[in-house]
Amino acid sequence: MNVDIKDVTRKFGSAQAVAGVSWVAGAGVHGLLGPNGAGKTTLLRMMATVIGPTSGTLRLLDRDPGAHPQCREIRRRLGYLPQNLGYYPGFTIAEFVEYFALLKDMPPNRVPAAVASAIEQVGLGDKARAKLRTLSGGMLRRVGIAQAIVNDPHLLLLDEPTAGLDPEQRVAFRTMLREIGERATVVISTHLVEDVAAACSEVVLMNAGRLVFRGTPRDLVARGASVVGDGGSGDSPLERGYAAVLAEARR
Amino acid sequence: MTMSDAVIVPAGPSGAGRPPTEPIRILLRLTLLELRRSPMPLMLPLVAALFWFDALRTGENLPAIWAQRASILPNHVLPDVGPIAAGMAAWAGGREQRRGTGDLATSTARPRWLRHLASWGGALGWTLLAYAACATAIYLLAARVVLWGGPPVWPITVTGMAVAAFCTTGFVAGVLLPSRFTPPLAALGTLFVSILVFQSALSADHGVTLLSPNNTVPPLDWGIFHPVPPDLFIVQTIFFAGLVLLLLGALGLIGSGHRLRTAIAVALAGVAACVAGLALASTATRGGDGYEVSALHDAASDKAIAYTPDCTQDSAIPVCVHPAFATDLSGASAAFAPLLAEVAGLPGAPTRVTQIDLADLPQLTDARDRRAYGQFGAWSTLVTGSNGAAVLEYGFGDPNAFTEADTVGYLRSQAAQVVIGHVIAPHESPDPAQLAVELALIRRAGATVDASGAAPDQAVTAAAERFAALSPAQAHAWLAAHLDQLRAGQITPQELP
Repeated sequence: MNVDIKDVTRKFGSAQAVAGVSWVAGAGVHGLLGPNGAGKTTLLRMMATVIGPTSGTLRLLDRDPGAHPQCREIRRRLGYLPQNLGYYPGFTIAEFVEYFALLKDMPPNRVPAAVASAIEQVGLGDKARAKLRTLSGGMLRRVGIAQAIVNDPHLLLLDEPTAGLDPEQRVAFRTMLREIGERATVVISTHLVEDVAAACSEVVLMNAGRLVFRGTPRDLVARGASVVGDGGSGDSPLERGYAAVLAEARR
Repeated sequence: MTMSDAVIVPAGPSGAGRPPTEPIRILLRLTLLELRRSPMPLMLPLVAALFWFDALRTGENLPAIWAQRASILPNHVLPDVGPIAAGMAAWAGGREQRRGTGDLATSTARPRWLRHLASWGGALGWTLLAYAACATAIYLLAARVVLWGGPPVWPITVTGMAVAAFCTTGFVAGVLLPSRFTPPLAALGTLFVSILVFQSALSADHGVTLLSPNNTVPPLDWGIFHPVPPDLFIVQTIFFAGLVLLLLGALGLIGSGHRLRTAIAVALAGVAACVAGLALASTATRGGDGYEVSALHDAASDKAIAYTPDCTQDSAIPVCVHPAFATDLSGASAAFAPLLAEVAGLPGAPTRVTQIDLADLPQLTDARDRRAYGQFGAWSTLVTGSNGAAVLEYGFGDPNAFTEADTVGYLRSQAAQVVIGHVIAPHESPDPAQLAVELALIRRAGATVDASGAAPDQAVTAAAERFAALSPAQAHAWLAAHLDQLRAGQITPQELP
């Protein structure tokens, strides 16, 4: 399995951000939904090997991220877009993506082509030499996506990837995700259920550090439909399903 | 509930099975990126301004001697460049934290140390570029005026290594304490070190204080007559290189623990170099032309440097200086000529005025008179030689503070009693008649009489005035006829013409 999580918890001091999550995921696009503070970002940071779990086991790409040589192998195949993308304003788009391509241990001779391809995929090919300080928030987000996909990752973790993207870009992005999802495991943490509906083959819903739903978008819609008369809310069927699952989890 | 098919993705282009790419190539490429986008160029105008106001202008006023001009590097260029470099490097070191790229960078395969090394390399590259530009300017300007010898390499090396140590210190401070206050504190801290600690080390000449590059401020004629031994420069270079390695190794020990063994090895190498530098510095002893460290000293380098003196025949006898001081030859000749004219042709008169190495003074056992004057003039040591030797020691000061006429007059006055006295009373303190003749000849030569001693009595003064009133030919003829009696103390002031 590309993602194999068993009973993983993560505490920050006395606060428990992730409380006993177990999840197995293979190739495909997986949506990670949940309200603010549900533990999505913490779970993604653990999967990105930025932080380790407090307890439980985590295997990524069939390797143990806690062991150094294996962790490095994972990171070579990892693409990660953090929720708050830090960037170096003086770098151009191409330089920023190249910088992270090199840090991802890509062979230097293959980096230029990979960088150009990644930038092209996010629609910034004509701005490759623009300094990051000159870009809009949406463009910066696309730069973040470009650096995440530059190494053709087998595990792609995207935290709020479509924040700031306009509708046209969002559609193109979903298409790209579906393509990547055919050969890799893509995990998107998002609040935008339409992204999930359009791109994800599986939805995972977290609440208060726990995994409270796992299924296809259709399953989530069904959950919403089954409780319409029972207080479900939302503009779309998926939102109603989301609200219904959360309402049930909070009881 | 369904679940997507679980697939283990085989290794792709960046996957397993591929040997790790060469870290050096990646590091070089990252460093190039860092160099291109480093904030360090922002410091260049400030460095240029400081360099112009401080180092360059000071350097232009120093004597045209390589060792003197090179001393500008540790004494002025280091405090001009080092603190700014440390501050900017601290800014670069704190970038990851400041820009919030920590998570993103941590999720990459390469260790944190590599990122830091690349970022440090970018900061150091610009720092060394700025330093190299300053050193080049100093040396180019010196090359236009220096008359003899070649540019010394060791001051460049030592100061460059000290600048690198400053930059590395700032960078590591920025990594460890990524705060907006760290860069100014790093700059102020290194400025404090460079000015206060290094300068205070000037007053000491042993042990750890010798590790200060400022401690190698040379006397004027260092490296002129004998090579300056590179011993202490080597020790300082070892120490600062060790400091850089120690800091870089410590940087590798922080964080992920990847490449831990390499980081430990680098840190230990740094500690070893620092300890070696300290130990070697504690064994340094002051020699004639610099410090000698027995473990490093090459005795072959003690041999005097051969040279052909520059001489002039403008005065009664040749006046010679080391070619490094050739521009001072006309002034020296002008200072000595009237004095030498007064005693020319007399028995025991000087036959040659030659500049010598201060280190040779102890060998001149028959030297009659030694006088040291600090902070004036542009000549080093001059000796009149004949019938024994008379030695004048001169210190050196700011030649721009005095006109050439001032300097010539001063040198003439200081040399007067040595040159005249060497002929009139070569082996003992002058008796009244000898003193009267000395005073008369000194006055006739246009020199000022040293008024620091007890005033001569009336008889001596009157005799001196009488003798000074003689024509040069009369005075010379009388001296030619009566010099032996005068030297033997058989003439009284009243008997003087």
